[in-house]
Amino acid sequence: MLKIQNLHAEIDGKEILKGLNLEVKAGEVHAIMGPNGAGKSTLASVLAGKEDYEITEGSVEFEGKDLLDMETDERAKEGLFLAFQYPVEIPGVSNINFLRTAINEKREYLGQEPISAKDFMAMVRERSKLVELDSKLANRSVNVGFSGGEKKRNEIFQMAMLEPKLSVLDETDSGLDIDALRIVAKGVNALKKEDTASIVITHYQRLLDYIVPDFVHVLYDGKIVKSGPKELALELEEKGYDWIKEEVVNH
Amino acid sequence: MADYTENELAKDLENKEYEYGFTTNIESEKIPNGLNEDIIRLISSKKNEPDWLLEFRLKSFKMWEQMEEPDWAHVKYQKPDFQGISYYAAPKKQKYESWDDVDPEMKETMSKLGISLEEQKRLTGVAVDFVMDSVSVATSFKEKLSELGIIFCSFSEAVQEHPDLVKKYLGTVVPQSDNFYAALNSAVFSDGSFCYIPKGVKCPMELSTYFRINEAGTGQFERTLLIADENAYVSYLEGCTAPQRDENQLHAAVVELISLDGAEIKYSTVQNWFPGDKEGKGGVFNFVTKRGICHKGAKISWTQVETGSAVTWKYPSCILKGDDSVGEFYSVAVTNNHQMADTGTKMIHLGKNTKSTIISKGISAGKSQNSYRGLVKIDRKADNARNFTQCDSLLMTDRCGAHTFPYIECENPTAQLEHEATTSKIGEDQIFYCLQRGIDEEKAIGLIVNGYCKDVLNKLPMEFAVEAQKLLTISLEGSVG
Amino acid sequence: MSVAEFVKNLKPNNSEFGLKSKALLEGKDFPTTKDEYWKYTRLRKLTKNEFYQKDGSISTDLNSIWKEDIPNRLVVVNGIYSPELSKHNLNITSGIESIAKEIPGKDEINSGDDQIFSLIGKAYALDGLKIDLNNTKEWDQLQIIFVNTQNGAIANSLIRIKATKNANARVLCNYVSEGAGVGFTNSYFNLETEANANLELINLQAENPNCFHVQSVNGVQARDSKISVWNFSSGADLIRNNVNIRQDGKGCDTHVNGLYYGEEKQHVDNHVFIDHASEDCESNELFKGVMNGQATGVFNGRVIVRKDSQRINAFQQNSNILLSDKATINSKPELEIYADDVKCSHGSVTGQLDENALFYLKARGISEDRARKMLVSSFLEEVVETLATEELKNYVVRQMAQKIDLLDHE
Repeated sequence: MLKIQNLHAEIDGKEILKGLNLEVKAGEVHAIMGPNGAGKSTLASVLAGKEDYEITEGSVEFEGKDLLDMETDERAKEGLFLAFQYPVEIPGVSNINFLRTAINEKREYLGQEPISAKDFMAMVRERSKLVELDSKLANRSVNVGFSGGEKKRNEIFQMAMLEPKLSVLDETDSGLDIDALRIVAKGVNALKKEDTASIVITHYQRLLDYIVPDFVHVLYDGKIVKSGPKELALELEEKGYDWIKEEVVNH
Repeated sequence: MADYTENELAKDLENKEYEYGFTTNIESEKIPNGLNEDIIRLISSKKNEPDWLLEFRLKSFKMWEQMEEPDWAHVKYQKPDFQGISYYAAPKKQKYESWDDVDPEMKETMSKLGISLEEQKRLTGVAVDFVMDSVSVATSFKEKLSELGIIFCSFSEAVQEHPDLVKKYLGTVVPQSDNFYAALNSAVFSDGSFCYIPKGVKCPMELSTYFRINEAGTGQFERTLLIADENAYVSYLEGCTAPQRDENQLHAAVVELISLDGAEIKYSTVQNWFPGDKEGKGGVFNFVTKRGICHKGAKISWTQVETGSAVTWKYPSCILKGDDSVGEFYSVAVTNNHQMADTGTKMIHLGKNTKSTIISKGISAGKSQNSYRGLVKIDRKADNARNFTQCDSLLMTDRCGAHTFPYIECENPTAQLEHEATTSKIGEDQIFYCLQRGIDEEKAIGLIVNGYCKDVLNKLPMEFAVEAQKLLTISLEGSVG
Repeated sequence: MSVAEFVKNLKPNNSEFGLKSKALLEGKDFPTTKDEYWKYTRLRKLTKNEFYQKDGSISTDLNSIWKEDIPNRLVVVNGIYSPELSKHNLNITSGIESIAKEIPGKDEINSGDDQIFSLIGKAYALDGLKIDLNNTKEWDQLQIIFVNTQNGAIANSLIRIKATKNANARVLCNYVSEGAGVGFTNSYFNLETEANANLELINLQAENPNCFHVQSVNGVQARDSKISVWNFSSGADLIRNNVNIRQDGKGCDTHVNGLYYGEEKQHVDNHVFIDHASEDCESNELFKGVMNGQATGVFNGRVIVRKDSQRINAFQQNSNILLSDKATINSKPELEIYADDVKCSHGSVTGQLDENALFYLKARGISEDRARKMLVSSFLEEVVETLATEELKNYVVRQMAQKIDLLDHE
C-alpha cells in the first residue's frame, strides 16, 4: 500500500529525514517510535504534503501512485488520512458542515454522487458513538472549545467518517488520560479492516497496549534504525532509547 | 499551495465578472448636469413638492455650498465633479397602477437581480420597494400592509400622502448640516423609501428595498425614512446593485431610523454596487449617512454585508437617547482589487442602562484597503452603559491593507467598555487541515471565511443570509491567500 | 494660538538643527482639537502662560530621589546640565554642540503628528546631553533628575542616547519641580540602538500640579535591538507623552508601557507610535490609567506595519478605571497594517473598581479607603511588573506613592 524509499526531507535547510525506508501492506498496523527530534512528526507532515518541508531525495508510492506528486487534498481524496497531533480550530465552521464538504469533495473526486443528508446524518450518529463523541460536538465549530481529549476523539471520528485506506496517527496519545486513550484506541481498532492500514506514531509504549502493532520501528536521527515485532516496544519502554543510540553509534 | 492561494486564486478572482453589470434599456428622463438652485427647484417641481420641502432642499444646498468634502477617511479617490453629474434620472413612466403595468424591461432587470416581484409576491411574502436611478418604481404588498396601518411606499408618495409624518421626522436624526454628503443628499434627493409602523404593530413580513443605478452620468441620492412607533417591530432589508461602467458613479444616500419607546428596527443591507474593474477603473462611490435614534427601551440593529463599491464611506450609527435602549452593529466588509472601504459605526450612549454591541469583520484581498472606524461615546449622564466591540481583520494578500481606528470616549465611571481587535493572515494551518481532509484550497478558503463571518451572517434574515453567503464567496473566490 | 507668541521671550540656540526647527515653526499655530493627534487635548491651559529660560539654584532634596544602587547620577536644571550636582563615569558630553551632529532639524520619525513641541525644544534648548552607552558585559545604569524651578520657567532639554552594539543600558529619569508659579518641562529624547543593543528608558513624571509636561521620545532601532520605554505619570496639570519608535532592522523588539493617574483637573495624554519598518519584529504596549476628580486620560496607540514588513507581532492593551463621575477617558488604539503575515491585536477596557471585590474586602474588616487602595494598586501592578528588577519595581512604587494617595506601597 505504502512504500517509502530513501526519503530525505529538510526544513529551512536543515535535514530531518535522512534516508528513511518503510513498507506498509494492507491490513497491517505499524508503530513508529523514537526519541524527541528523531523526525516522527516530520514523517507525518511529509506524507500529508505539508509545504514547509522540502523533499530532497527518495520516493513515496501510495497504492501504486507517486504520492509526492500529489497535492495535499488529492492525497486525502486518494485515501490518506492524518490524525493531527494538534488538531486545528476553525471558528464558525461546524463539524457537520466541514465533514460533509470533505466527504462530498472526495465522492466527487471518485465520480460518485453527493451523500444524501439523511444518509450523512445516520452516518454521523453511528460513527460518533464509536468514539463516544457527544453528538452536540458535531454541531459545534471544528475543534473550537474542545478539550484535548475531545479533539483527539474528533480526529478519530473524522477518520471513521472519511474511511481512509491509510491512516497516519501522529502522537494521538500524547496528552490523553487513560480513559480517553482507551476510547481513541477502541475507535481505531474498530476501524481496522483487511484492506486498510495504519501507521501509529508515538513516543510512549502505552498506546500500543491498546492498538497492537504488527511491526514496531525505531526512528532515530531521520532513519529507521531498528524494526521488530510488537515486543520491541516493551523493550524500548523498559530500557529507554539510549541503548538504540549507542547501537547506532557503535555501528 | 500557498502559492496557489496568493497568486492563482487572486487571479481567478480578478477575472470574476461583476454579475450585475448589465444595463437596462428603458426610456428615461434625465435632467441636465450640474447643481444650482434652479436644478433643485426643478427637481422639487417635477415631484410636485410642497413649499416646506423645497425650503428644506434650498437650505441644505446653502449649507452644502459652505462645506468641504471630508478627507479624514483612509481612502484615496478622485473627488467627484459635482457639476458633472445629473441629479435626476427617472424611468419615463413613473407611476404604475399595478404590477402588470411595469415595463417588461424593468421586470427583466429585477429578475436578473434575483428579486422578481412576482415570485416574491407568491412565495416569500417579502414586501419590496424597487428604486431605480433615484425613483421608486414599484412597491408590492401595499394593500396587505395597509390593513395593519403600515405605510410602506416611495418617499415621493409619502410626501404627497403623509406629509405630516415626513415633515415631523425628516432631518431629525441626520440634520442637513451633518456632513458634506448628507447636506448634498438633503438638497437633491430624488426618491427613496418611506416606512411607518404604527404603535404596537409587529410588521408580519420583511420589508425590502432594492436600489439600482442604471443611467450613465447620474448620481443616486435616495432618502430612507423609517419610523417604528411605540412597541412596533420591523425588519427592513436593502440591496444595491449598479451596471458596470467605466466612470465612477456617486451614491450619496441618507437613511434615518426612528425607534420610538419600546420599538425595534432591524435594518439589513447587502451592498453590492459595482466595485470597479480589476484595474480599479470605474465603480460606485458609496458615501452614505445612516443613523438611527432609539427612544426609551427601543432597539436598533444594523447588519451590513459590504462587498461592492469602489470607495465606501459609511458609518451606520445609533443614538441611544432613551434609557434602556440597545444599539447593535454587525458588519462584514470585503474589499478586493483596488476597492477602498472606510466603514464602521458610532454608538452614542446618552440614556441610562444603554447597551451596544459592535461586531465587525473586515476581509482585505487584492490591493484593497479596508478600514474599520468606530466611535463609542459614553455621555456623562449615561449611567451603567455597556459596550462590547469585537473587530477582526483578515488579510488575504501582502498587497492589501487592514486598518482599525477605534475611538472610545468615556465620561461616566459606571460604564463597562470592552474593545478587542485582531488582525491576521488567513490561517495556513487551517487551510492545511482542510486540505488534508480532501477539501480543495478554494473551498477551504470559502469555508474558513464564511466561518469567520458567521457571527454577522447569522444576524441577517434568512432571505438575505443565503444571498450574502453567495456574494461573499463570489467576492472572495480566488481572492484569498 | 501662534507658536511665535508662545516663544516670544525665548532665545534660540542658533545651532544648525535649531535654526532648521525654528524655520519649520515659522507661521505655525499650536494644534487644536481638530487635529487628529490632538483631538482630546486642549493646549490652552499651557499656551496661555508666559515662559522664560531661567537658570537657578535648586532646593529640592535630591537624596530623597536618587536610587541608591545607581552609580551614575546627572542633574538637569531647567534644561541645563549641572556638572556640580552630577557624578558619573560614563561617556557623556554636554552643550548644544555635543549633539549637533546627531539631532536632525526635523523629525526623525514620521508619526503623522507635527511634533511642534520637539521643534520648540530643538530651537530653544540652551544645552544638550550626549550619552553613549557601551557596556556589553553588564547593565550600564544611569539616573537623571530633571528639575524645573517654576516661576515661569521653561525647561527645554535635549538628550541624545545611543546604546552601541551589544550594549545594555538602563536610564531612569525623574522629573520634579519646585517653587511657585507655572513651569513647563519640554523634554526631547533621541534614542538609538545599534545591533543587538538593549536600551531601557524609565520616566517618572512627578512635577507639581501647576506644571506642564511634554515629553517627546524618538527612537530608531537597528537589527535585533530592543528599546523599552516606561512612562509613569502622576503630577503636572497637563502631561503629553509622545513615544515614537521606528524599527529599522530585522528582529527588533519594542516595549512601551505606561501607568497614569489623574485627579482634580489633570490631563494625561499618552501617544505611542510604533513604525514596523522591518521584518520579524515585535512590539508590545501596555497602558493602564486611573482617573479621579475631573481628570482626563488619553491613550492613542498607533501601530503601523509597512508593506513587506512580514512576520510582525504587535500587541496593544489599554485599560482604564474611572473613579469619579466627572472623570473622562479617551482611548484610541489604532492598527494600520499593510503586510499580511502579521499577528496584531489590541484591547481596550474601561470600567470601575470591582464593587464585589470592594465589598468582600470590607466584609473582612478592611476599611473602604484601604480597600480602594488595594484594588487600585493591584490594577496598576501589571505595569510595574514589567520592570526588570525587584528593586526598580519597589523604587518606582515608592516614588509614585508620594504623588498618588491611592497607591499602596506597603
